[in-house]
Amino acid sequence: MALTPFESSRLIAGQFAVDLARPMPGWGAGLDCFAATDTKSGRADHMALLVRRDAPLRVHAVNSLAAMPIDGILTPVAHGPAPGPGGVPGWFVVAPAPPGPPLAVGVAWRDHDLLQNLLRPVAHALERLQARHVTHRGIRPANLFRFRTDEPVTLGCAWAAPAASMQPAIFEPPYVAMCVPGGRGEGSIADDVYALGVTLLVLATGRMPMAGMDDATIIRRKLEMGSFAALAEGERLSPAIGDLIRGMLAEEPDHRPPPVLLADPAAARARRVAARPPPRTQRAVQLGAIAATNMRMLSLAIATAPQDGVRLLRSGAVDQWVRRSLGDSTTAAHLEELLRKRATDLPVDEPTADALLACQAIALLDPLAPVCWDGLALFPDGLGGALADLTGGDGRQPPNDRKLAAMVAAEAVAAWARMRPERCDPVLLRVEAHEHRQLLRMRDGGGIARLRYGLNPALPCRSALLGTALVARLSDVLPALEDVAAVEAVRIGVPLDAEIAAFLAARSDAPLAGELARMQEEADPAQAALIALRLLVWLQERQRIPALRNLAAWLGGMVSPLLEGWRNRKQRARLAEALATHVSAGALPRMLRLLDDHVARERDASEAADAARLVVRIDEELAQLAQAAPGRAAVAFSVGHELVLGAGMTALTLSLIATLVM
Amino acid sequence: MTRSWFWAQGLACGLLVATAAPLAMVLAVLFAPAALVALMSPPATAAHRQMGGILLVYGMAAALPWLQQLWAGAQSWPVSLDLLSAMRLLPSCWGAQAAAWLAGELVPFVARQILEARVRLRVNRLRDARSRLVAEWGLEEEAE
Repeated sequence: MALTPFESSRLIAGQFAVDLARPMPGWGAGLDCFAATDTKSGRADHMALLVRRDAPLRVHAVNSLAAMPIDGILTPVAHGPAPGPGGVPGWFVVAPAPPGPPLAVGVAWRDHDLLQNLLRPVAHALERLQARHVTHRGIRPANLFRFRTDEPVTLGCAWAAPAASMQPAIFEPPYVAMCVPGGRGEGSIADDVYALGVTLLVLATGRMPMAGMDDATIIRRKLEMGSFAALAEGERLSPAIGDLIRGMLAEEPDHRPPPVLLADPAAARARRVAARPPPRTQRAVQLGAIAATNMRMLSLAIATAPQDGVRLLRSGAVDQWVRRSLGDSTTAAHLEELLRKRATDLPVDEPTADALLACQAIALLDPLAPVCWDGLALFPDGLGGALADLTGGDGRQPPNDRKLAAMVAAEAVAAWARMRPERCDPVLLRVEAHEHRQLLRMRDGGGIARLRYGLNPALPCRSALLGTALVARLSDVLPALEDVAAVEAVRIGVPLDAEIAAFLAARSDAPLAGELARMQEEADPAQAALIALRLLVWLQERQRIPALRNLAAWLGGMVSPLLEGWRNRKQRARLAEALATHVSAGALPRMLRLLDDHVARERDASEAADAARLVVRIDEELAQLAQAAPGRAAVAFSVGHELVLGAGMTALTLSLIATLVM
Repeated sequence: MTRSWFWAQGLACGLLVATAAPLAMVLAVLFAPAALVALMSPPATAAHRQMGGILLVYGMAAALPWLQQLWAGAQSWPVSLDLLSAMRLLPSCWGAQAAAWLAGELVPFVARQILEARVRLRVNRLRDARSRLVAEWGLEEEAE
């Protein structure tokens, strides 16, 4: 049966219908999940994951996987907007429905089952993901599915939220777990191997290790004891599984077996990497709640309590401890160099200099650590997710706005990369950090919101003006604004607030930033409305939307004072009449042409100046005429007498002729 | 009038009285109104002198045929007295001077009225144009 246009508009990618009456709780790996139907085939064997508005989906991964599915993974097949629960529109990622429920923790799996039905299929899937330059970052029992116990597991969907943002701390390496959820970044396939190792451990033991501990304790214990020791403490594992897990939970990502090796468990087990354990000391450094016995713990302590950490660093206690207790004179020398630079570098404000010092010291002490800035930790490629997670929105987190803005402004990522050049591309990161800083400080349309939308191509606009409307694409802006403008009480100020302006600047490929900045700086509401009208017309013409009556009514009321600028009253009245006609027709382009006609305005101004000059000349002439009254009387007197005298002379001449003739 | 010109006039009158007393008497009687207007005091202005000149021209035009008789009669006292006693000479000459005075007063007045009427017409046109410009271009504030 053919679908009506209305029904078609509610489909995702014109094909998948979300059945909100059939929720699938617990199957969405932390996200709301609903059954979905493929309307083309009629099969109801799909699920739709509702993307959270503050946690955008992984666009690159979704697009890459949707193009070619991978066996053993619930690869996304489509994504798009559709009505969500309560009628609130939402963005859904559609994937095939899992073959069965998520894995339950509670029963220990047999080794054969672990190797054949968990490790091998997941390793194959990771191998294929790695070939596509995509990571999973959501491997945990709750995101692994199978129908029967003797079947291989299927990896769940992990692309409807920022990478690893839904992962509990236990399944992530400590350097990832300490990051803010949105800022963990795409990571590497080694991080997936780590998560698979923890999953293997959980299923091998049949219980969740470190249960009941908070994230900070989990991270601290992993750094203190090493991940394997912290997680498998007191557990009895078979030698085969134990060796595998030990390798997969190696602290150094390069020491973990790659997926291709894991597909052959025997080979993976045989692979032993001789890693020197990090130096430890019995003489701990107490910083906050952490008594650090190695450099990684100290870096965590500084990241957790940055102000105390900076005091300790500046006192020289840290480099002395590193040199004397840990015997690492190279790192100690680098720390001293950092302190010297802190004292001699160009003067910046104290908090920024301290935060930079802490950030670089953390990277020196633990090259695996993320960028740590004033209590926040994130990886460079997780900056977008962190901005989406921590800034804007309901305005409850202004300190995080400031912290992230300060971090970008200080180009902390570049400073961090300089401390660990062997683990990243410092040149690339410096260029990116500089670009982000430029974007933040750009006078025309820059700022933290612009950066947020620029780094998150799928993040919906967070303008309070838009209410619950979902505006994730440029084409969504005008329909949403038109709906909003239908309520007269909402029509306050221009219809493009700062958030929408930042969204437009980030999403459009045209140079709108200058216009948007001028609109926000414009003190005259009518002029600001004119600029908004220009931008909306640009959108309307681009999207070929015929009429926007509500927006026209909104802007019509705001721009009408601009007609007062026309000097010619008759022309002004004609224009007001035409404007009213265009407003009622919802014709924004015609409104703009009418108001933005510079040639006509210049002509009007020129003619008004001519008229004023003419009035002055008339006044001068009237004054001259009034002043010339006595002169005119004299002239009249003189002329009158001349006339009379002339007549008399004529009479005298005639009389003389008559007398002489007679 | 300069003092020398005044004395020259006095000398001319004296010569006329000395050499042609009858003629001087006739002229004095005939042109007494003109002299009166010209020497009207105080003070006698150029306008008064001009008016006196006009009266003199008109009076001369009226009296010229009779003065020709006096010239033909060798300017004798009898002829002079006959002329002055004639019924037509004096009314004609003084009437002409009265008409000249009237014309000298009326014609400038009429000329002034014509000029003022033209100016009023021009002023009205200018004011209309100004009002139209002010109303059309909203120049009230500037106009004020």
